[in-house]
Amino acid sequence: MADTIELVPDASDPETYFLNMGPQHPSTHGVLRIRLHLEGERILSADPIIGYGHRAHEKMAENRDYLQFLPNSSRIDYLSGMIYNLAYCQAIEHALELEVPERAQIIRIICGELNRISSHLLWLGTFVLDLGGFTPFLYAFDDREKILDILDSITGSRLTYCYGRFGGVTMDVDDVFLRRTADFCDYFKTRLNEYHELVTDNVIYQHRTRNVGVISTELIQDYALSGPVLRAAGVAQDVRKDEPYGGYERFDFDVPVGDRGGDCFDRHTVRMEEMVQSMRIIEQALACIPDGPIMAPKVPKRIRPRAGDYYFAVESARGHFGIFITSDGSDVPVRNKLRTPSFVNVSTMPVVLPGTMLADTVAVLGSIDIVVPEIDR
Amino acid sequence: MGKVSVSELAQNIASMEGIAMADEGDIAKGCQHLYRSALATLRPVATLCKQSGYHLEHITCLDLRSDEGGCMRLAYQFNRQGAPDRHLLHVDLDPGSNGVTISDLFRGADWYEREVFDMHGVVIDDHADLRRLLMPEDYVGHPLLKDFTDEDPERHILAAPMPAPEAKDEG
Amino acid sequence: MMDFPQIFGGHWPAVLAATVAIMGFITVNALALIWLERKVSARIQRRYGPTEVGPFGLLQTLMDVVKLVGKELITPDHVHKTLYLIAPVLVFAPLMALLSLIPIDEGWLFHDYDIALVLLLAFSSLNIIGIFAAGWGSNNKYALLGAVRAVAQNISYEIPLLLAVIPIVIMTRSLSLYEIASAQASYPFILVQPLAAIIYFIAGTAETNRAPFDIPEAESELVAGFHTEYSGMRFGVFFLAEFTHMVIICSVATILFLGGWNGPVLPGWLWFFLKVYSLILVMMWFRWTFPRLRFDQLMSLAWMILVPLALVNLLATTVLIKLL
Repeated sequence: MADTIELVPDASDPETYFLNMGPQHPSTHGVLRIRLHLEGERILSADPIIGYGHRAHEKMAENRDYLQFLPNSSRIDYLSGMIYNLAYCQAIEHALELEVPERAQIIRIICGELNRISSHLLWLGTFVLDLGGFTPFLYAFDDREKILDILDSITGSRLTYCYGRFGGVTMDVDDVFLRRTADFCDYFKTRLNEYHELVTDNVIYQHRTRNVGVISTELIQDYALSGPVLRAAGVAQDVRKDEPYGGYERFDFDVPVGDRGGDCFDRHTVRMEEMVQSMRIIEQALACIPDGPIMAPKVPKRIRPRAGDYYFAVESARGHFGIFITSDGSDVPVRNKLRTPSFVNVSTMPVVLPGTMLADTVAVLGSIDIVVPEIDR
Repeated sequence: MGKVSVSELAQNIASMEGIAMADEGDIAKGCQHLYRSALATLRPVATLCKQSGYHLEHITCLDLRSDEGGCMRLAYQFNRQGAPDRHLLHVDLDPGSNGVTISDLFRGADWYEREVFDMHGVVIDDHADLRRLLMPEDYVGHPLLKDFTDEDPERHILAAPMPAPEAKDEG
Repeated sequence: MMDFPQIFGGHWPAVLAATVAIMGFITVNALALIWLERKVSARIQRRYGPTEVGPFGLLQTLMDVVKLVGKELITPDHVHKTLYLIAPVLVFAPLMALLSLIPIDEGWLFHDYDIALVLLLAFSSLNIIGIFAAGWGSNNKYALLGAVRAVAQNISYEIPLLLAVIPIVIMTRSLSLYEIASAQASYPFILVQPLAAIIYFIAGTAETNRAPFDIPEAESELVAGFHTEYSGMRFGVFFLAEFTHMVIICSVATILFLGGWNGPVLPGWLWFFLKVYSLILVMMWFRWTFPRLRFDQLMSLAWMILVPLALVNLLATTVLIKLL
């Protein structure tokens, strides 16, 4: 509490003062602390202080074998838990050069894209909530419940999934699942129009997000930005297109980009459009799902990748998620580094925030869609 | 087991002074071209990558002190937009010696280097603000080292069970 | 005209009775409005709202008030005691006084002040002092930021409020609320002053710090703005003040623009309350639909849009009155 009582400003300039945002704060999504140096309402400098949610996943990985780490994988970013879980499975399969049967690949793609939609819906609800609009939050969660119910029916979990296994998936999907997914896609297309009416076309929302928090192309090479933040800046890059994995190469989908230089509104339109493209992928996947096994025939009992460094990347809801594993040929990895997109996005805050107003901090933080456990691991 | 063709950047890096080894990229390993270099070559390699339009994907550290010829290995991974072309640079440091920063070339390296310092205890020279990143500022110890034990003096207090109600004094 | 001193046998018993009546109204009104807000917000958000306690959850607010009254009044150590303790009073008392000015039906009012409108605007400004005392006295950066914003917002929006009211005054040549309402026996003034009505309503919503103008209490940015350090019944008083202010603004809007108690068939006071609560429903509707305006956008809305529009409206009114 010392920071909040201290109204005596920084000794060097009597016109400025420090303000602490977080770690407990209704708007930073998770325990993120940002130390702001303000003059009036304008931010002079911002210093994100992370680590409040550090759970030592990388240390755990070094003390467990590859299969024992599997449940950890979806808890790194719990909003894209399915994507992360499947990413870890695919990383090990890649290292072992294990062929995954086609049915399992298609199932993985369907579940991953459903997860992406649910993550973007939560982002939409919480972002508008931060800006003061209470209602879209509840609408988004209502729709998200439908996705969670669908995924619950085959995985048994609603948020943190452990559905993937090395070589395939755990349980097969039945026709009920496929029909529910198809029904959801039809239902959600009409709902998206409601969101556009309520949020995208809302004058106040546009005032709060246009020309706010511009993350432009000059930061891309410096910070290796990825995901919706990158696409909003105008660069059409998506891991699913550039290095297709797990069967994505056979599906036809667009990569939406922003056209206004990367402000908050661009990030909004990119994510809304990504949900449409995810549904497109799901519908194509539903149309071509083949019969067959859901696990590879010969999965080694003990997972021992050859000695060396492996890197595998997927497109999560937030951007480029990379798993870097160094193996020395034994059961336990020497190093398992999780390269998460939110880590990168938050590290741009000291550059993006200065010059904006205090109310914009909330808008910018919300629009880059961070999940703090992913930053701290 | 597919090998990717050696790209132009890979040839440029491989021909640099101080590169001890250069390996062709392996699809199973994520299309990485692998190099091992001395610390002095790190900045020239980073500069070359930056000029070629490559970005820094991550920096990490491996605690290999228990292997023969023990060292702390820093791994720098560079990649480009579009079709991936990854270049993984290993810089092996003797335990206790410092690395050097590339955060003036790639601003994103700032936090990665702070994390390396925090988790592995490798001091990075010329870094503008080398504080701990994930652990509290007054923490002692570097968690990701293989011989790490939690020396936090408060730990036994936090881990102990609650005292019985009779044993509590009033107030 | 009801003659209160005669009914209650003397001046001071009449004052006492009036005070009791006002306090009673404030309390019942707050109970009703809180319930209404929760139900309206719930239905807009596709959920039910309170349904358990009492039929349709009507007793929920009462139970919440009981809980609130039972809370310990914690005074944080670091606050400026005098300002901290007096702030809720300063916020609430002027609004209590204002309720005595509102006429509900023909002959149903405490006293016909011939400068009622001036008194109204003057007392509304007093509650800003209370808000600032709360923010400054809390000795808390968030509270101070909230209070600073609230003061700037309230002061800025008083100008369009005033400018929207003046055309009505010009038309009726009276500052008395009773006379203005009586003058609308044939048609409500909103038909001839639609722009003024809209400006008044927007400025009024901003005066009460309701969304989309609730930056001073912006939950997601400043925890709770100027009343961050208040808990229990002290917080309840701020809450009460906000709802009472809403009723006052909407009552004045009804009297100035919607014709007060005038209307066919139903008794006057019923019309009055119907109109007031419809306007309150619209205010609630705003809150649950729109996101919040950023502070500088809020200020430019007041100064760059509402004030010029109100001035143009005033000019047009005076010209038309002169001509017709």
